[in-house]
Amino acid sequence: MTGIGGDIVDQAIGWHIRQHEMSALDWHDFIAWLEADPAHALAFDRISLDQTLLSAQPVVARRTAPVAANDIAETPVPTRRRWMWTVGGTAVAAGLVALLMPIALAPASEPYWLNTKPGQRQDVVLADGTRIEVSGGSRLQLDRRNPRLASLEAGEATFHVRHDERDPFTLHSGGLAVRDMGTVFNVAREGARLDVQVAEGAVLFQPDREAVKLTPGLALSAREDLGRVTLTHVAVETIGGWRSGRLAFAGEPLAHVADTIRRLYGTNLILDPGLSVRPFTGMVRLTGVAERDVPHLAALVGAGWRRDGERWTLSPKEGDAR
Amino acid sequence: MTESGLKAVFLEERPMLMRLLVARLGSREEAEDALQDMWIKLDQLVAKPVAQPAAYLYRMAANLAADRRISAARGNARDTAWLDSQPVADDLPDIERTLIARERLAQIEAALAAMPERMASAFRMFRIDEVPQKHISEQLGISVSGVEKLLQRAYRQIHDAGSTRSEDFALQHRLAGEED
Repeated sequence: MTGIGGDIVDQAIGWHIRQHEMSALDWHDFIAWLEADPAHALAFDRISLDQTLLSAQPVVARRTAPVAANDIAETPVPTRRRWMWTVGGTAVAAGLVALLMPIALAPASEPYWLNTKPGQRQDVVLADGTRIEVSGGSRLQLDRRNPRLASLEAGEATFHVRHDERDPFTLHSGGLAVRDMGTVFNVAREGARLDVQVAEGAVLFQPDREAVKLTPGLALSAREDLGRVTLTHVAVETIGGWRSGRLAFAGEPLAHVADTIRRLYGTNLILDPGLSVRPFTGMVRLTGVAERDVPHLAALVGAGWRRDGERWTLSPKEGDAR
Repeated sequence: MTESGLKAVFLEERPMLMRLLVARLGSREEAEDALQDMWIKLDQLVAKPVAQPAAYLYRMAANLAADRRISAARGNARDTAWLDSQPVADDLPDIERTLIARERLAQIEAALAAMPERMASAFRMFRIDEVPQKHISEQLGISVSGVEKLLQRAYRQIHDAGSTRSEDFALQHRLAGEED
């Protein structure tokens, strides 16, 4: 594996660097070069593998382009580049070409936002029969021209996708994506964190990159900022539990629990300092009526509570705060 | 160049596209599959003018080949885990097969970190932000050929950082095993 001459490596690198700017004739030369010697093809393959690996890496990308994943949230119309990604790995090629030449080869899109307020819920049925149950405090981008495409920028939703093998449904979120393979799945986005849980069928996480297949009962939690992905098992019946007020947490800080409740029910719930990092594992049944839910949650986590108008505060119990 | 025009060019260039894909993938069968994928993707693109349709198609084919190669490499990279799998990994052969070479990526990032600032920023602009070389040369205040040299050296350092790379990831190119 190590016998490739330095010249060949440099030639392979040269071909890789020039690739964006090559004419049809250059490509013919490149093909002839690849074919001339298996060592050429091998050297080029190594360069290409490294570069593909690198461009698939969200952490590296983030360091120089911190706005790339967020800019869509600021503007009602997505940048072309973002939607270029939606037709697969090849679309990257289209994006590169678009930069260098006066062309624009993008799928037709007519995106719009579906925003829910904290405490609000909405059911959407897309033109293809796909149903999406959107929880409170969510920002979901849909496309009138293409019902097979959505982007969740914040909040949580359960997707009942009408499967079409020839035209799979793809959900983007930040720089990540999942693609359905005949599916009911729940997706939650909070800052740099994306959670995907599959109840039925399967989805592909990062379909054009790692293409990790998630089957029922699998829960994936990705941190885009850390470039880290964790897999766990969950009980299928708890997936999308927010729809029936059943929230399952596994070692999550209470701050996350409180955020979720605020988002789902619009409850004005505050944690005293010291409580917010305390981890919580368990299932909470909620009704959306703060008078019932807050004392229930407090009892469950072993905290005290107080009410001030519509404002609810959880605090460590006496003697608990050391 | 309309959509059907692009397809016409595809058909014209098909033999050369095939040669490119065979050379990259090392297998006729896989090359045929990739061509089929290309045809389908052409269907999803909307009719808009393309200045250099043949070059565009070659790039598209090269990208498809790169994607297929990384999937294949991942299928063989068994002990280099990108996923922080919980103990469930044992019963997740599907996922295990798709693990990406975290180790290799760490080597690449270390190489990037060790580069002189100018070289690293030229590389990042080119590879990650997809800035054309001409713009990089303007930003760094050096000639375009200077940019190309910087990039060439940056790629080389990344390549060489893997001289001890795991054989799992640096796959034997299948050309060797698939002569017919």
